[in-house]
Amino acid sequence: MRPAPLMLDLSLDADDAIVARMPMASTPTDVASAFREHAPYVARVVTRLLGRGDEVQDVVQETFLKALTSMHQLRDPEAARGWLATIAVRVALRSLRVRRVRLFFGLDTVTECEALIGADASPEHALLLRRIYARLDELPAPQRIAWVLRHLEDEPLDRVAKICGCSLATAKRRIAAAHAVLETELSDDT
Amino acid sequence: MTPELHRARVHLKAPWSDEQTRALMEALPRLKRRRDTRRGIVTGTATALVVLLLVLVVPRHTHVPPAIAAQAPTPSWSMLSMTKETQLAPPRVSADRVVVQLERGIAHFAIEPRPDEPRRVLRIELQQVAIEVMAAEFTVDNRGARVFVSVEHGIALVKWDGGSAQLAAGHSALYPPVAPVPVAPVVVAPVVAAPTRAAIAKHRVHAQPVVAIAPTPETTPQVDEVEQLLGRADVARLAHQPFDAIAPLQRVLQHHGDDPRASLAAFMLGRVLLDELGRPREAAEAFADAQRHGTLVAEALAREVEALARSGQHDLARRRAQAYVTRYPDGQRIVLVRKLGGLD
Repeated sequence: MRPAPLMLDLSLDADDAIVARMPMASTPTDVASAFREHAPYVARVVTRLLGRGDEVQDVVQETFLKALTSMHQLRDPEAARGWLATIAVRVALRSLRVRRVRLFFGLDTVTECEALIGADASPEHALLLRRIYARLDELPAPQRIAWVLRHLEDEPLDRVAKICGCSLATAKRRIAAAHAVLETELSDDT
Repeated sequence: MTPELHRARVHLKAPWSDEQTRALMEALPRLKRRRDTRRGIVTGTATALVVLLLVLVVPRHTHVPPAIAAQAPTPSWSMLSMTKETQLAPPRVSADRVVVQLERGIAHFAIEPRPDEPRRVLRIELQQVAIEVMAAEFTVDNRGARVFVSVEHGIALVKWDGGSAQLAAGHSALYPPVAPVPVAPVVVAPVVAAPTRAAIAKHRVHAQPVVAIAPTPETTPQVDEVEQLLGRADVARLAHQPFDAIAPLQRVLQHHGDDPRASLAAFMLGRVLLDELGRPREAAEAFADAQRHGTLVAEALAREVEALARSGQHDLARRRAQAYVTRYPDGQRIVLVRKLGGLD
């Protein structure tokens, strides 16, 4: 059965909580709880896309801020997770581009992904992840994002295309291009 | 994907805690409000800048029709103003002259040759006459049968069928000049020595001689100083320079206070001060002056009430309004006077 359209009221309630209402169901839904549910997922995606932790909080905050102002675009509540991921990817894309410009002018340093690697990782796995992120920094941001979504987030191809806002063919091409660059690092491990 | 990568990615952490989620949810409404405010400020500032830019950059040509404005850069005039009724054809520009046809109404020109442009003669063509200037400031009033020309600065050459004349700065005249009256040799009075204000404005010719190729001195009306001063005030008003009308009118009041036309000058001064310069207190005094002679007393009294009311002298306005009502109970301005004087 098709879910009822979610018509969101952007007003804030007395407690300054974010409130959304679904007129069809006549049941108030606390969007904040939906946000709360998906925030760790969004943070994880953003962390893996960016490859370092210092920008994550800003990007996640910007993602939810954009989501808050464009909630009227969300028609299917079940799609909230993917919709938030799409927004997060756009914000992360911009952040990566800014980082690239800052790197070019010597205003930023290369990615330090140490904070992302768990203490339980073997030295070989830690090394592999460090090398992969070092090579990802050399890629154009759209290729990097497509590859990370496909191979680190394990998203299916059609979802990658949807989240990136491109066609399936474009998503495949981006992943293949990134894979060609990373092939050396990956083949060394085989 | 390689099995090694599959195993390695399991060790990727996402350092995000529930505490961070809670803090984010609490901060979102505040951040949204702040962003909305910032957007409002940015939008408002950008709009204000665009408006300011438009005001500063877009040139303003008062009363200049688009057809003229589009071609204005070719001649070397620095200013051109007209009344709403004025019809001015688009200029025809050639190497040595710019020709403009004044089909109807009044136009004021200020011609100043630019050093970086070739010197051109500006020729204003009307049905009856043509006016040529190189550098001058002058007013042309097309009055149908004749044309009133008044030169403020420089020299204008006025040509008509059968003659031409140079009109110097500070002089004005109607062209073509009135033809001699051959059948009435005994008549020595000026042909257009009209006693009314309108006639003075229409037929005024300065006492100082205009250098004319075909002069007809016996037909040139002789005017006294009061007429000259009133005419000068007329010219200033026609040229939309009301401030310049004050001095000649005040001179009439100071030096010709006994002249019957002094009340006219006072009334005119009051109108200039009230209607064009927004100085109601002085205007009230001028209208009071205008009531010393009989011709404009009722009208001047009504205007005095108006000026007093506008200058905030409400008690005096009320007393003068009562005087109007007593003297002119059926006066044309009785309703307005009662209202302005606070009698209703």
